[in-house]
Amino acid sequence: MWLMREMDVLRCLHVNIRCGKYIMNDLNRGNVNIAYFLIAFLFFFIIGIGLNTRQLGASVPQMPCSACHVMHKAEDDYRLTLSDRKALLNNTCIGCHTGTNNGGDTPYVFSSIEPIYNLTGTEANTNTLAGGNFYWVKQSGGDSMGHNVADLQNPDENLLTPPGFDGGRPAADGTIPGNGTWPVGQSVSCAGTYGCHGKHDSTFETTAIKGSHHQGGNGAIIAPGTEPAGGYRMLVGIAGYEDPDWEFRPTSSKHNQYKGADGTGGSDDSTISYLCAECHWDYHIDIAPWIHHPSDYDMGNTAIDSEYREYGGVSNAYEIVTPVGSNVVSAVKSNVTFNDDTIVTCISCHRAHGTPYAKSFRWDYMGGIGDGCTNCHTSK
Amino acid sequence: MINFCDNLTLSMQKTMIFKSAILLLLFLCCISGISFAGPYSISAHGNSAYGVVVDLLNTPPNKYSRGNCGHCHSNKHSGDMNYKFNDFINSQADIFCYRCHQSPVNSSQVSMHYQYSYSRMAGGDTKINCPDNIKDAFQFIDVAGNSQINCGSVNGSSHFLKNISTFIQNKWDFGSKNINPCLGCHNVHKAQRASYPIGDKGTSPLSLPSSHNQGWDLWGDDITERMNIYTTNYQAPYASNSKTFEPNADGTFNGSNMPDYITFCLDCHKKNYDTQMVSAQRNNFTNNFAGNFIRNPDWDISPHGKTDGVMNDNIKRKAPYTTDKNYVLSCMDCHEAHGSPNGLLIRKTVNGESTVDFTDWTSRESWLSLCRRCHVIDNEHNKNGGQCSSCHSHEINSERTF
Repeated sequence: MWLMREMDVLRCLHVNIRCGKYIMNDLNRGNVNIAYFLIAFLFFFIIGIGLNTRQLGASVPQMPCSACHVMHKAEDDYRLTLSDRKALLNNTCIGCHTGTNNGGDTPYVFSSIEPIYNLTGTEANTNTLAGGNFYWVKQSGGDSMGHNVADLQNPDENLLTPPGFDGGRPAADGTIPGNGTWPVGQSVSCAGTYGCHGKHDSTFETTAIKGSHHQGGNGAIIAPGTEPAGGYRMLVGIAGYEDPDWEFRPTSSKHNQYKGADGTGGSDDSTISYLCAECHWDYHIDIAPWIHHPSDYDMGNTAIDSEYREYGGVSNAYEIVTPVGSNVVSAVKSNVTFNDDTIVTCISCHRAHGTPYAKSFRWDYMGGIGDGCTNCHTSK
Repeated sequence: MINFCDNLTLSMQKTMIFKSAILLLLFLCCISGISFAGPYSISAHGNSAYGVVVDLLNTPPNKYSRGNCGHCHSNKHSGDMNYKFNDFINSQADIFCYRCHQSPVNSSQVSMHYQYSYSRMAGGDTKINCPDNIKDAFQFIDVAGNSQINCGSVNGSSHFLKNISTFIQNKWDFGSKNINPCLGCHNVHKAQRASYPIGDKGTSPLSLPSSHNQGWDLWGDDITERMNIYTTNYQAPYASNSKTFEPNADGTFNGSNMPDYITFCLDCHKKNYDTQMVSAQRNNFTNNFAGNFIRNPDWDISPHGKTDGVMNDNIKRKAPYTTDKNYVLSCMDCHEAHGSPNGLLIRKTVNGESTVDFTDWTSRESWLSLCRRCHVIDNEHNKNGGQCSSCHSHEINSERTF
């Protein structure tokens, strides 16, 4: 990890030196004194180090403070609620993350106009991200198409508590969703006590993810620790490899790498499936006989000639439609080897935020005879 | 100047990303995407025209398409229909597959059709109306494996599902527990609706159990898996009272349109497994004639199989078995697969006549109702000898009886 960061620093230095060369050419053309150039070069060299070093640990693009914060209550034209004004923020989670993705620096998880999802959200013309989009769950009759986050719509009419919630599955920091109890009718939120991101012991979403926008890691999150800033996508204690543009039009070689752990029965709290299990625990059993589809189970456990060994076709390419987890997340895997890198996860089939499909499936499961299921169940 | 530096770097990066993206997209088109076609889509369950569709799951707010996995496999903890992955078998009276494969009135399947016996489906006898579904076919015995009244018979028989589940346990990678016994004969993701293979690649609902760990393909659909390949001495029995032949009630008589049932049945019923198969119902029916263990036939040395009885009895056989040669029979010529009002899974209709009443092991008349379907047996033949099994069995030396 340290070495990778150092290499990134060197890469940044190289970029700034190259910038300096361009600057020098410009300056020479303007017959400016070489001393001014050296001063300018050193200035940008130092500033460059500073900025790029900060970038290594940041989850937000370089923006002015005022992009997110207000300085005085008197400036509070945004009319925030008391809770949202924590950390002097000028908007809510949804407020900042509403928009149309175009590969830019801000990941938009909600769009006011219908996003382009195509069949699976992975095609070349799509503009949704790894978690999908909350657009569909907000539409009339869309309750089952994603998580009904409180900032966007009313609670789910049918699911009054998270299915499978048992109140005893803490995150790595010891905090438990709902502090162990989920009130009937309580909506899920982006972060906090009833949320996925950040710590569960904070009522306020902003304090739950405190520090993570400024100090969050990126790339390989191998040792996530117990702070939101250290976790994959601000998910406390969860490991993984973060795709730099959140899987905007992913490919088999450019995608998130999800953490899985074979056969641990949910004891490894750093897997992406464990994150889901914190609220949906009863789905998270991997011991045969299965009473539901397994998760945190490596398809490498199957016979060498089993149908599962044809995941990804002849070359066993990573399937972006049906992603599998791996025990090692230090890098993105373009191909799988069935050696702790074909681990079934919850999000192998579902997207966390929402999709156009029931149960937040990645593909139109109900509308066909399974379709994406055959990426693993290849003989079907 | 900072913006200039960043923009310049960003521009270079975007160019590289754009070029890379083009290559990656081309690569993606080749290797990625969803697989849509497969054997399941042409199976009886996955077929888009008549595949599985459970009424509760096809009614709003549920909109599972016909053939969808969700009709059988729950994606919920407790299941959309309150059954779980491992609820495959509770008893002879309640197994997972019955949810649909039962009386059309009670079936969960939308517009379930009747599921008649082989005597009707292949034998063509439309008078055979009971059982008319798979569940009922297995109800000739109770949960303990003893005969119970069904279709008006108190001496009927069914394959004992619990024993099948036990038998295939730890064999051919079926697993060690909670095995759906139907899987012993059917690959539910490949089994096809019609059981009358025609042409080089026909249809079949069967899969060899021993192939479970070797692709578990269909059996009987390929031209090489038919009765005429097992033996050139196969002669299909008549279908119903016509002069056409099983299983299609047409002119084909050499078994080229019939799965090789010998190989299929003997996959389990071979003598190697004698001591692994017990049958209380069979033992009760035969008055402990051959003990608890099923003695599986060796068709290579059976006169109904590949060994000639050398009796020059062609004049004592009925059509279509009147040539002087060794005819090789198929198991299904005489037996049902699921259940029968008769003992020992003997069919009600054999060789075109539904007069078989094989309900009493010791009754000469009971035996004659069966054997006379193909053999000319006058009333004087061993008239004091009782049942035919006193002298005849699957094998010449009577070592392996029935």
